[in-house]
Amino acid sequence: MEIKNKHVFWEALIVAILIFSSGILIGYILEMNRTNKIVTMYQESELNLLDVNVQKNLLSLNNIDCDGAIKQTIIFADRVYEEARFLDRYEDSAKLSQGLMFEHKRYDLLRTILWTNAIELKEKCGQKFKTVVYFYEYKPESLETRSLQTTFANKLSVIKEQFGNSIILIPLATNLEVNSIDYLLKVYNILETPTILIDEEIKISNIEDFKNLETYLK
Amino acid sequence: MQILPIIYFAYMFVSFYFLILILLLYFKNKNSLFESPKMTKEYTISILIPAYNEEKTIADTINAVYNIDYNNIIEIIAINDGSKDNTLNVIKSLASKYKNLKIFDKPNSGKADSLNKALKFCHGELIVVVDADSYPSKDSFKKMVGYFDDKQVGAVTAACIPRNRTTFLEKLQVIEYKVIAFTRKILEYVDGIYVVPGTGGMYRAEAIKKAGFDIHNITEDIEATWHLVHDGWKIRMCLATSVHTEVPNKIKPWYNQRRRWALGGLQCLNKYKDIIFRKGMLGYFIVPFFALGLFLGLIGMIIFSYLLLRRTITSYLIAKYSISVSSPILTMNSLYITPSVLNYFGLVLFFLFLLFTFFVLAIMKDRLFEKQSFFNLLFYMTIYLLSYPIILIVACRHYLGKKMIWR
Repeated sequence: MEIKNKHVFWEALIVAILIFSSGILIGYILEMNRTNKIVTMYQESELNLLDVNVQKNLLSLNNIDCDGAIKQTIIFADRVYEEARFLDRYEDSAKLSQGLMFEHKRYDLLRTILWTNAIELKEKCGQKFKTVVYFYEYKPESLETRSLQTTFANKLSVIKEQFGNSIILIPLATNLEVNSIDYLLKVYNILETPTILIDEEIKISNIEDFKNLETYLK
Repeated sequence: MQILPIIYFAYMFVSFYFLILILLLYFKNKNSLFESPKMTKEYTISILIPAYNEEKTIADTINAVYNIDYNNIIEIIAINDGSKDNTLNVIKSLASKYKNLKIFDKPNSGKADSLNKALKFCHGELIVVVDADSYPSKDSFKKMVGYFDDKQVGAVTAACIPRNRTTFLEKLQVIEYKVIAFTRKILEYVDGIYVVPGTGGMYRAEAIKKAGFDIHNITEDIEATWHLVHDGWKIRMCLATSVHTEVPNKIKPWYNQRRRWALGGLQCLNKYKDIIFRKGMLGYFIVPFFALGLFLGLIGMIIFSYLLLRRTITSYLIAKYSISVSSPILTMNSLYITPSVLNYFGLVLFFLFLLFTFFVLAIMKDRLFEKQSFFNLLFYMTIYLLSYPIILIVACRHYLGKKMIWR
């Protein structure tokens, strides 16, 4: 072997490591950018939640009308629901960092607060809307669960379009070790995923009951 | 991080490493790519043409051999390995035309055994093996013999190029053979040539007579090459000339040929497994390189099949559930694609290999054939190359079941 070719294996290794590491770094930056985008969205949503909370507190002083508070809550819920879908897409494509899982937990907490707010709102203003809480497993291993959850999620997005402002749709992951969600699971006796809880009363876990989802919402 | 992305990254890194290795070697040696050593001596040459049922092509092969511009071909031995067709009669009819054409007619015992038996009668300093469906170029010997001035060179091979290139499958093989010829030349610079194909290999008689051809290996040319390297001989590749060969023009014979290559490769790996990371370039590069190629092909195929199966089952279940609850199977949301880093890496690597193939074809174009159409190239890069690991899996199954198919 000629001298000029003698070290080519090492040279190729060094070049490959350099270029490959750059690729990984760029990938990591890309994922961090996506995480930052989610963080910004979350911060805006957090502000909205504060606003909703203030309105709810004002309710207790009888200084605000129910219709306004409900409207704000529904707008906020819709926004958080859309952001959740956005977050899902980014999460599916995240391979290098775990940052989005943390954001997912924060969103789940935000949605839990939203749900409790909605419950209070229904108590104070009457049953002017329905809450549809969708409990699902975060990144399930089982193909059966994954397929069932995709079907439930697809159907729920259609339902949301169909029923518009008369329902608040709140998806919550059950396996992210968030204490308040674990507590709510116990309170409402949610034992399996996916499960849909309508107005804190009706539970739908199997595909047969799921077929009649529309009738429960009418 | 999950295990699959780690395997995927490792897979990509190895592919990327070899791409860079080949490119570095090319840029370091590009001026000598098409050079060949000047002929200083006309070595005596014996030519062996093993044939089994080659009545359609053997006459052209013998004619091509007699057309070679070289003055010291002392004998041409056409070996009829118990052909069931008219091969023997074709050879006999040519024997009356060519005075030093010898006929060696024997019962069928396989190519390796035929060559071993014929080697005993050869008198040349160099021995050339030409398959009965291959046609060395007129200038091939003059450009190849110069390498043997280096006393360490045991064998020389030339660029093997398809002769028939009209059908789609043949055109794909033209691309494939050009890429193989280029990379084989590049591997020469690190003494890493792993095969002197039977289509037209030139051997130093002393080396090949000692090594012989392994009658238990169905790719005796790969095994013989490894044996020569094992014995300390160097292998050289002459890109300045070529040997044309008939390539399969139908899927079934093409598939059988590829399966035979894969099976032979597995046999060689098994035979030489003990010298991995020992014994010079054979143990440090050729065998590991070959093994890694097979391993990556298998792993890639297993991962691909696993993901495809998961996706198929999931799609089926979603469709089943969606129909039962009158829900859409696809929503606008599911049509959004957010590419992951793995997608980007895969895409970059695909385009790099596409560019590499373009690059190789551009380099080879002036010296060798016609333009390649872009569609052929894309098909080659996707569907055609994907067939390698599939055939490899079939070959592994046959190998483990010890079902060796010779033809």
